[in-house]
Amino acid sequence: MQKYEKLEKIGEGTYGTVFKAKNRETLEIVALKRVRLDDDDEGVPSSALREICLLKELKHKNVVRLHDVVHSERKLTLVFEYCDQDLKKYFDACNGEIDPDIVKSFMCQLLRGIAFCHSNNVLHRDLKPQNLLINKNGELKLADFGLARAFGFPVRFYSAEVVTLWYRPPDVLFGAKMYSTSIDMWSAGCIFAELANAGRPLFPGNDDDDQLKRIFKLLGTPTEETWPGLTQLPNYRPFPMYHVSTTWQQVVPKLNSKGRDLLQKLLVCYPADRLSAEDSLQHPYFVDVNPSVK
Amino acid sequence: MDRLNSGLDARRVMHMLSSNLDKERNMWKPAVIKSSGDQGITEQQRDEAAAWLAYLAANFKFLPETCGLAIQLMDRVLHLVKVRSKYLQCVAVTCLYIAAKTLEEDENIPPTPDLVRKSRCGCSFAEITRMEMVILNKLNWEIRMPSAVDFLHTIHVVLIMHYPHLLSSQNNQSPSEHLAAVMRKMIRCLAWHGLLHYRPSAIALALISLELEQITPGWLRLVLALQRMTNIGSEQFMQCRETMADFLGHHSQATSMYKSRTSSSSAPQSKKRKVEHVVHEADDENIYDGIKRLYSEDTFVCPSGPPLKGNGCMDKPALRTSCSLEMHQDNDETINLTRKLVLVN
Repeated sequence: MQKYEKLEKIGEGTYGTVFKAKNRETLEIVALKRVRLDDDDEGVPSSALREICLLKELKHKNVVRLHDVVHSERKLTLVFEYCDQDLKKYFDACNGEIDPDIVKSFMCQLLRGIAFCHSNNVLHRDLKPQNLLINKNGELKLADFGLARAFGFPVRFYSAEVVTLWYRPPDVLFGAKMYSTSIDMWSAGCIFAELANAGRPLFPGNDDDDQLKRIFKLLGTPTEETWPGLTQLPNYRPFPMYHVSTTWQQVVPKLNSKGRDLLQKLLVCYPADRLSAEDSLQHPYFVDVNPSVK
Repeated sequence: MDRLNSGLDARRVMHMLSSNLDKERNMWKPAVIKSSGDQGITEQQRDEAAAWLAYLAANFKFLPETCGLAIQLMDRVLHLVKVRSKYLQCVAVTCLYIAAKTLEEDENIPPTPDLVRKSRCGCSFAEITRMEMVILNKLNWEIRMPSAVDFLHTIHVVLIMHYPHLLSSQNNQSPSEHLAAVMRKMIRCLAWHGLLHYRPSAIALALISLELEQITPGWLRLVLALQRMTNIGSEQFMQCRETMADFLGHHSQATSMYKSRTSSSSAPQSKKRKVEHVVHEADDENIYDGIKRLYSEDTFVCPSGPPLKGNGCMDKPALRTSCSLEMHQDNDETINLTRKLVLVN
């Protein structure tokens, strides 16, 4: 690791400490994620192994770039491109206001990153503001692929222990294990609303039940008619029949009508009806997206 | 069936197939086992190790994909590195561990001590974690390569999506039961070195074509369509099919496939009794379990996986390793554990 000069600690990732560092030769600023390898541990943590294998294949400007993997005594260092902050910190610093053009630009880049992952048969499974990095050019990049996995055949039981609660879709909250790309689209919808509201989370639930209640109060409680198969989900339990009393205009007052329409198409309880990333990008909301993003 | 249980449609399935074919084109090389003099690995030993992996994968209730990937990783390692036969088991079980971490969900991955104990691999827990780094570095962390199991799955889905009545002559055999039966043959094929120099996609197509021949008179048309779809060369495909038919004990109709269809045996006999025995011992149900969800036949039954991680008292490994281990892969092509591991108390 002589190649890099450590500058400062940036934070703690899912499986290791992240540092800002400088490549001594090229002077390039990078982010180093350090993974400890203990003898009485599991060897390379599965999350690190998957992140490395997946990111080696996923090269896209809206996906954080993994430059290198350096293995030295009892530790593993992942060398990433450096980004100044994550979306969470961006929210904290924005003073309750984000320009609608920036909301659109970030959302467009988020969807492009997701569309790219999905077209490479990869589910991210932990999309949230902390895992979206923003660099000083206003570029947004998907990061932290520790929970990500490739999908394919057989259609199988995935883990239901995925996605941070606030961004977890109702099907997964009911214990569905046969989800697919729609899992990331729900999270994208939640992040979209949060962007539009300058960092106020849409569904900040305290536990699974509270989370579902918040969702159903906004979208109406789903039934077997609106969601075929609902009652057979592993952790299905009946909820009061909430009737929609809030308008989307009240939910995201600063978002224009096209944006609200896109948001509604992402936040659909029945997973099969949720808009895909590819189709979302064709939505009229993005017609006038900033050309520098295009 | 225009939509599978997961909401995958025909377009996505085709996309998956073509991206796997692209990946194969970029990554796949024929595996030749490097023999290092009298201590090297023989083809027989390789086959035994592969059959052992299939057995272990079934015991740990891993997906057939995990088994396919593990055998493929082992073959890649044996191709790149001269491995002494006494380390073959360690290499094999480590490949299984890497494949499981890559493809299985965390709750389904056994902790290292469990892996050591249940596999009776004869190597210590520290040896496996050391070997893991050696292999990952050697393969440049390029782990995700489609195996013949992946292709078999995808091609089978393509077939069932396009020809939903394909299995109507098969005594009500469901698509997943059919695929499970074919998958067992696939695992047998993977545990035989005779197919090592064929592309995984060609192996999958060859097996599918042998199966189709037994269930439909229109098999040739289907196989030609699949061949065009997958862009697998006729010569490679024919050779692979013939070799496989011999191995699986099908009466060799391969040579006459473009002429006429002849009857074939319904109960293939293996020449490699030993391999067959080991794989058949494995939990057949497990293979079927992994498949039946695909075709919406068994949606919400929870698999009874191995115990979850972190359940307290595990056998602590007897061997501890020193802190001053040199784990960088040196230029020496031989994986020699004794040199890499300084074992102290």
